[in-house]
Amino acid sequence: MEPGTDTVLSQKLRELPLATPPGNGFEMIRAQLELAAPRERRRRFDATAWLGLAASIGLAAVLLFGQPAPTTAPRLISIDPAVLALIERSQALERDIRTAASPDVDEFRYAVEASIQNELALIDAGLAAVPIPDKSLWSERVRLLEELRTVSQTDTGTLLMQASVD
Amino acid sequence: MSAFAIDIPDVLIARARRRDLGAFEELYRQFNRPVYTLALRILGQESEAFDALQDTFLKVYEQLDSYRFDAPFWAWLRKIAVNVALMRVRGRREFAELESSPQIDAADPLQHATHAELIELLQQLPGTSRAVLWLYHVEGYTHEEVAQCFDRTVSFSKSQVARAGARLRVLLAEDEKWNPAPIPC
Repeated sequence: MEPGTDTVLSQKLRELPLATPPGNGFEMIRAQLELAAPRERRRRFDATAWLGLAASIGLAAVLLFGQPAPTTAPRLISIDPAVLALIERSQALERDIRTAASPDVDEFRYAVEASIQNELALIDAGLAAVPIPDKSLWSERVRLLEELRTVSQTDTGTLLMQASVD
Repeated sequence: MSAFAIDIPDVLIARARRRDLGAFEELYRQFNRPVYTLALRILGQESEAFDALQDTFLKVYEQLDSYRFDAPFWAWLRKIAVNVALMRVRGRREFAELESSPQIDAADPLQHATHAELIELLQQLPGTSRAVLWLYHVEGYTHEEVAQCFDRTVSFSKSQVARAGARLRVLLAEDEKWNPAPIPC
């Protein structure tokens, strides 16, 4: 039989039913992805460091060269709705963090929270240096606040375990 | 038509690219059976096929940013699934392939083969021949594409397709000889 003309075999093989894998497949994938998340986060921290550097340079430029001269009338800025949503999300997260902090206070938790807050301070400096709300900075601010909220609501034992996996 | 040929909305892919696990789970739900079936037919073992399924989706997640929306998503995903399965075939270091085409004179035994018989006899083919047969006949790969997958020539693909088809028929004929269908009363 010539290849390409063996339609009987093609048809027979294509008619075979699909096999079904064990049902917990996605749960296993989810677990692996969540385990890998701290590494991914660390990569994003590198990106954050660049953002922070950019923000610092922006702030330094403002401090060195002074604020731009005020215009006679305040300039109306139309804010991108996506940025507005990020600002609102940011405010909601700050409220969450204030009201739902973990009662555990210890050095480890303090160090983790302080590290995130340092990055937040850099982002805030960057935001203060730009005249128009910057979407990527706001988006990064929301991400950091989400991380801070998770840390503040997680018990120290779990935090330590995550750090050892990381 | 390949079982992979499922249209996926761009918006779902875009959500998965933003690391939305809900969207990624939906992609898994849509494609887990085609990927698992492909891996099972190529690898022949359920546990290995399941590992290949998991590897495929982890790679898809890692590489989603490289999908450019210029070809169907299913074809992009299938390519990853085929590569993962073939990597495992290569990893076994079994390079057996069929070297001759036995012929049978009787009527084509494939006509009456059941799904169960066909699945069982596929397992008796050497891994490489089974993979070539599946990619060519079921996934619709051309001989050029098969040759590329195995880093071999087009004639390698043509001969393996012909020999594997012939071997399946011989196995079916033998199976029929030793296990004849019951004669109705």
